[in-house]
Amino acid sequence: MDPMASIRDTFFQECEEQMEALEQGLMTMEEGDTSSETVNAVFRAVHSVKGGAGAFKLTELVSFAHAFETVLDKIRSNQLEPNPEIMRLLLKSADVLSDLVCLCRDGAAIDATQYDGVLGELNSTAEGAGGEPEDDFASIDFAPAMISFDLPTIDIPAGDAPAFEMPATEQVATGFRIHFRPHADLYRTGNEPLLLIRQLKSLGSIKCTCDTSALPKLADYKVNESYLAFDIELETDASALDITQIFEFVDGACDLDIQPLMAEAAGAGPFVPPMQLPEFDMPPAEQLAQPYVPVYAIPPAAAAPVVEIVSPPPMAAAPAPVPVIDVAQKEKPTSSGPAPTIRVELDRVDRLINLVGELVINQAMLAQRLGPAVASSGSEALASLEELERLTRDLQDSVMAIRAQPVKSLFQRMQRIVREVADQTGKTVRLRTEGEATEVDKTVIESLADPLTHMIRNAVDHGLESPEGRASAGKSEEGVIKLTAAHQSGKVVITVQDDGAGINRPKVLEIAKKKNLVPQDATFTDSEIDNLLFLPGFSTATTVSAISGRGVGMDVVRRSIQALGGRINISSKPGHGSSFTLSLPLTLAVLDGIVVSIAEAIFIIPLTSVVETLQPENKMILDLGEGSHAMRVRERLVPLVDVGQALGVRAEPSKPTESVAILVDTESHSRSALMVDRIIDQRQVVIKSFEHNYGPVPGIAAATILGDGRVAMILDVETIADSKQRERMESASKDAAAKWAKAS
Amino acid sequence: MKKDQANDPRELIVFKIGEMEFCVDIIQVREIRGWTPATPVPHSPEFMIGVINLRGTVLPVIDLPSRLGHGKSVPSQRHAVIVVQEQDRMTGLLVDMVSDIISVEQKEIHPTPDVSSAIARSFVSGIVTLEGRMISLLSLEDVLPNLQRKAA
Repeated sequence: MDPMASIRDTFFQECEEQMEALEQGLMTMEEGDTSSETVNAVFRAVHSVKGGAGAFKLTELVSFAHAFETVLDKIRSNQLEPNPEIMRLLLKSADVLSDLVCLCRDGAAIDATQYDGVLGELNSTAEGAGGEPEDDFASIDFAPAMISFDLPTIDIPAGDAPAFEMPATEQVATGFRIHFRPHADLYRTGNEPLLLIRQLKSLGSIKCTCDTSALPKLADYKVNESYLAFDIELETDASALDITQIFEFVDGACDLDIQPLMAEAAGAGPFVPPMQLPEFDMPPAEQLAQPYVPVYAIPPAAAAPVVEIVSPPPMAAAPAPVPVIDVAQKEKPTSSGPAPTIRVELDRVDRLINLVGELVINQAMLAQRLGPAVASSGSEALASLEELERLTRDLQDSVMAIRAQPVKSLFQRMQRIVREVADQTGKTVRLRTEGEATEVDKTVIESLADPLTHMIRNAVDHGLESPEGRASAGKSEEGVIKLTAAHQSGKVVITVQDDGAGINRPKVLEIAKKKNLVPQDATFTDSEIDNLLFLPGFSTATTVSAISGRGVGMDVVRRSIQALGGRINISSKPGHGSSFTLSLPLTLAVLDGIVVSIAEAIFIIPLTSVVETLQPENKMILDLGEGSHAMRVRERLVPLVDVGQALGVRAEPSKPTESVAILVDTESHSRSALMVDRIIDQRQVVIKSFEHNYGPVPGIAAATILGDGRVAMILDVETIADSKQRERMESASKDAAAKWAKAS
Repeated sequence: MKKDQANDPRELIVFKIGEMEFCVDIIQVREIRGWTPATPVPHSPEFMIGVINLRGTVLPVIDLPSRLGHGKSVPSQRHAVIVVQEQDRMTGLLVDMVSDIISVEQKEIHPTPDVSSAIARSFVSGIVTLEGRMISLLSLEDVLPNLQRKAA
């Protein structure tokens, strides 16, 4: 692959991280924390984006980032007060910047008029704050910035200046270029290059670049060797003698070459080859101030999705910069550095997960086949077998954890949605998030983005009242939406809660009846009315707004949540707001299920929907005629569903008293009892796609492979328990053959 | 280029259903395996035997004789399952036995005669005549269920 393309990919991946840091920093600032640390973090993020963008000649991105950065710089130097108005501008700018990054990444055309307004605002804000207007940034030659992007530049901050100065062509000065290569002896005698470099700095302003070209392959790397050299450009009035004096004590323990610096482009240092170490993805200079951890990029990262693996860095993998940086780190302690990560293609992780899935099945098969023999022959083999099972389970858990990611990034995206919708509706809204560190499988997070966006939009648009409405209800004008995530008994629960007016139940019912979505004479409980919102084609907004669409939203939301194996619940209190609760599986790869048999066939019922299991007795059964039965469970009448018949695997209806009833909870809060012949086991099963090779089957959610190597179906409880869907399913079954038979 | 392709011999796997011989292009065949008991799929047509575990993948197995209108098979150890791939989808075809692999040139594959039965017209894309044998070239696309239509 083109090396530039892979660097470019890395740049955009980093951009994403920078945008996250930016958003987070701005949120912190908005909450009133305008300490220099926070402002610096925001500045750094924008600056890094600008630096990288310059290397790839993304002019629009650079110019916008520059304007943004200028304003931030003014705030940093206390020339500008981050009042609410400025904060709004900053947040808007962050959105624009994020859009620009996306456009640049996709190579899409950039329409300057889209952000001209914000750009103008930024420029006028910067000018209004006084201070010297900056040079025309377009004239700055950004080419050297590419070097700093690839290789670490050890930067000694000089007062209040930005942490990393773009070398500008017009920057002409007299000074020296010093090439300094410490020998291993230098370190052995307790000398420290950083101190020497710092002494150099006392002579004038310096720019120091680390030359890593001598760094060997990791396999050949020796701990006691010295591989790094430093190229230092010193702008000074001092003489060469002054410089040699600094290095006096390390004379003989290093290569030292001091050349007078010509009055020419200072930044065009030819000494650093841009791509010396393709396997190392060195962080930009700014990040060196943080605990240094090498970030390894798998070269063919391309545009493949990347999962971040959080793990302690392997010690052997920490190359030579460590001795230097360790000290630098002590000198410049920084807050919360990013957790050490490596970038791995998602494909590789998936392959590993699949393999582990196979291993789990194989282990189960082995245990099943050897079990009886081993049990009689001796305890040692049995112990090994048990140990294998435990290890396999641990391995599986660890592999699953690789895919787990905090929901933070997802939640941060919602901030922007809230901002946009609040702007459009003229409401004042604050989004509070909780439990951002909650980890969920990456695929779950990805598939959650759309439904969650919908729900948040709905909450702002429909959930919250207008400021006047709120004022007259005696509430603060600012509406609050709470977005929380938490782990709850093996599931992740995400709640979207607003403090609006709550669901207008009479209106909901009226609309549902008007649209003929429900029978005219039916009566409903409150919770049933709330659930009407999920009906296809329902919309309470009397005017269709651009924001929440045509009311297809909640229907789609529910379907996508169900597709993830999750559930959505709604609860509302008039005058106090409504709350939507999503409960989702932590992973899409395994599930806990009850293994049952129906007419000799084995099926799995997902444990998440099971409430209890019981043996129906005669006095509990209510015959409703035409083969339908209901069962009385603690004064509640629940329909009895003959699963065997519903699936068409049994011709004769089964007798309730000879079956086991499994009480399940469904979406609409209704309960059903599924009749099966026997409960065999309860175990964790690996979910296998059924649809890929076969196509969807009504009533079947997926398949799994049992210990004996045979395939078993995982039931789609929702479809089976719902009588209407069951009818559809049965008629679909009659059509199945017709559909399969290809018309000639 | 096109000419070369036309002259290149095609390798075909020949199998038997009753006394009739059929073949599929070897490029479409992933493997041939013995019969293993399948798990029936609810609401499936008669010719769908069920699904089996192919090294961790759920593989549907079609009763090819039944699909071609030869009546339902009673699968046994003697039967073979030809695992074919069409686009990115894999399916097993239950056949009575796999006989041989033949190499034929494109010109030896004749169009299906108009007079043949409806089954032949819909599932056979050509007839190979070889040493007095008549081997029907199976049109996998038509034998396998149409996922698009099923989804709709």
